[in-house]
Amino acid sequence: MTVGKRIGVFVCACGPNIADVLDIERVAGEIGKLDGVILSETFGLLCSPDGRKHLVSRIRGNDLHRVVIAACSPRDHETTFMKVCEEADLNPFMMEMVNIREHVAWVTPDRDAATEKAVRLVRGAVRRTMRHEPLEKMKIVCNPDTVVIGGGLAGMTTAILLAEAGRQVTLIEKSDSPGGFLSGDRRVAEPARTVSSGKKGIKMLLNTQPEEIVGFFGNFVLSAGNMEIKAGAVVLATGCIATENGGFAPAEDFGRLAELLRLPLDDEGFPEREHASLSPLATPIEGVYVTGCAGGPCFPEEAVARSEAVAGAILSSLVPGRELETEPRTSVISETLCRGCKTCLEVCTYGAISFDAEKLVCGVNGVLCRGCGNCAAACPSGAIRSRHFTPDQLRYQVEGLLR
Amino acid sequence: MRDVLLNLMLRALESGVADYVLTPSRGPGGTFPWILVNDVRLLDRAEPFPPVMYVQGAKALASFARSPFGGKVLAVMRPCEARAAVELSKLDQVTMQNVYFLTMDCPGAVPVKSYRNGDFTEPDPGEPESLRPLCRQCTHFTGAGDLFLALHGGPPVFRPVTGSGRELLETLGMETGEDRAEWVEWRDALLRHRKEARKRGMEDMRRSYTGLGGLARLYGGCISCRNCRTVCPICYCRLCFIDMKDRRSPASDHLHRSGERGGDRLPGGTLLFHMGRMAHMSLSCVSCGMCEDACPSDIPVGRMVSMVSEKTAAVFGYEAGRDTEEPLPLNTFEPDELHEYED
Ligand code: SF4
Ligand code: SF4
Ligand code: SF4
Ligand code: SF4
Ligand code: SF4
Repeated sequence: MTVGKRIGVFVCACGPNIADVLDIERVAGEIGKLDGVILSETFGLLCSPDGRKHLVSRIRGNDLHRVVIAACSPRDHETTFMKVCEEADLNPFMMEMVNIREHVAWVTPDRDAATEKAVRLVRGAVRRTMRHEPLEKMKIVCNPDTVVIGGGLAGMTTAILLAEAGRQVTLIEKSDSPGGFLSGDRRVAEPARTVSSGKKGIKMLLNTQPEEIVGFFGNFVLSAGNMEIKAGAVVLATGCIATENGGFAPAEDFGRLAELLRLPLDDEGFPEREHASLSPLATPIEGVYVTGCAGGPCFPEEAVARSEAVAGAILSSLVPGRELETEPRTSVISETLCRGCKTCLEVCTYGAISFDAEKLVCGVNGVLCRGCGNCAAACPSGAIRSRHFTPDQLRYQVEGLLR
Repeated sequence: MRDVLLNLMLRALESGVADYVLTPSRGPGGTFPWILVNDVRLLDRAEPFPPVMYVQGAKALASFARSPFGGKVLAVMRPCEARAAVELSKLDQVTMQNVYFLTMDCPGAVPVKSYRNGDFTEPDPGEPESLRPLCRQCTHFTGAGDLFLALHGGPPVFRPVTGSGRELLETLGMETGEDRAEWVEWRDALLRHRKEARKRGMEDMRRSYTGLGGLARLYGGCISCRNCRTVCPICYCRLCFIDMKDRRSPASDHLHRSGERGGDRLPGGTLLFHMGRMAHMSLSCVSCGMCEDACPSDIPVGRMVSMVSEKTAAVFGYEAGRDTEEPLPLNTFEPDELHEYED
């Protein structure tokens, strides 16, 4: 699809935030002289409901193909303005934001210098958008199932609670029977019977250990033996062991499991937490939880309480039918340029890259890739392109900025 | 000494320690093509001590030994070639599995140009004038690979470097005792001398080519033939960054630049190419001198990359070609390092 080159530029005053420090009229005026720029204007508060309405009508009314918004940090409002584009029937990736608030107004006090800097940054963005291509988001339905690793009291409790709420659960246990540390104890007898019954939506896999885990919240794929288990959330209930010096350490093979998940560990080898007090059972990886002694030693009552909390968290976040948008700003590897050095394989924290032993090249799984760009930066052979961050786009931007 | 090496190759093949020998050979017209010998009768073509380097040994090895294969190869090459193979193995461009590297006290190499003109004497570390500039300042002239042939301080003798080199010698019933004192003395004396020469050479380079102006002068005569890149064992990309379409500026940029400054040099990017190349591969440069020998414009490219390499590698405590297990600094993420370079 070829897209026209009619560019519209909108410079936000951000109340007094930007307008007080630099001359936004001059910025808009200078930029308006550039080739391809159909309109270049200022506005009081682009992110406000009025501002958004204004943008939609300006984009539609002027048949704009590309848009540059000079305002605040994309962290604050990139999604806002992407939505605006969608409302105006413009592919949201045809828009580029320039951060003239944090990067200019807040750090460059001199009015002339700040104005000049803003002009250059916006000019770079204008040239960048010339090279933008529309990208399409895909929607995938998130998988409401859960996989629980470890069939002790905590793992079984989590599985049973989820199953009682109507969810499908796969419970993976490395030994040949459920029970874990408390095996034989009456406290695990009842849950063990339940998870072994095959009823209630719990599928138990004994003598099984995960070999590979890829994916992300809503879309994990776990391989064990020659099985592939798909799930939206992963619960680690692998327990802990007492060490010789009287302390506790995670179960022996926990390190390997953490490696499969690329899960950061603390000094004692237990998983780090998303937030120690707010969500003590969520790990830094969205959709991966710890329960029972896998999160640090605890008594059985506490293990049950932890499992209740984890099951609750999963039930509320992993709603059946919830749709996830895939990231279209993914990376692609050129088969012709790749030398198969596997550098990219090591730096991808999402397990999105695999090596083709026949062709001796690597490839990216577009659904798993989150577009972080690590691989593209690391490839010594320039074989990887990150969509929306192509060398072409970047060099256009930089040259525009330096002119 | 050629006989001693041929004898080892023969015994290795006959005993089955190796199934193939990779070695330079005597080719037509005074050339030295690499051959992969399986039949012992072809060994009389082997020339493990050619006076010149036509193709870097690591490149020859990488041309077939990309991924693991059946059978064992005894690769006979110079120290810088074996060290380049170590670097290539770190990026999966060559497999070290099933390859024995046999090197020697390297006599150095003469420039291809003087060799072809017949204007050379057999390489001899004692007579540096005949050698290529980087050979004159080479400090890794011995002790590389799995085992090497010690030529100095007595009759030629094989010396193990790694465990597998030792095993190979033991299997063939050969001595693996201590290094002889005379050889150690020879090595230390040459090393001192070479370090001194390298230091002087680097000082010369720095004096002559300091700053952007100096670099512009150094690479001013570059004819963009890219020979330096083609012959370099470390530059293995399928398509070099400098040749990628999307690294070119559109016409409007050139016109603009010309308008702003009154003129624009074309084709541009000479400096960018050399700086880019240094950034990409200088940490792995093994100072083999291939690039410089191949330069039709007599630019000391090799000495430059080698000097930069030494400085940057020192920052990471890295040494190219030392150990296959030593990770490439640019592929290793350390969250906490290099604070001295902040601001
Ligand atoms: S862009 Fe990031 S997530 Fe995608 S393949 Fe590369 S390293 Fe992995
Ligand atoms: S880093 Fe680049 S060359 Fe190496 S395997 Fe990945 S894509 Fe291929
Ligand atoms: S840059 Fe030159 S000296 Fe260094 S490894 Fe490559 S060819 Fe050899
Ligand atoms: S200069 Fe860089 S891109 Fe070009 S061949 Fe060498 S390593 Fe590859
Ligand atoms: S070999 Fe010499 S002339 Fe050719 S590209 Fe390299 S430096 Fe330039």
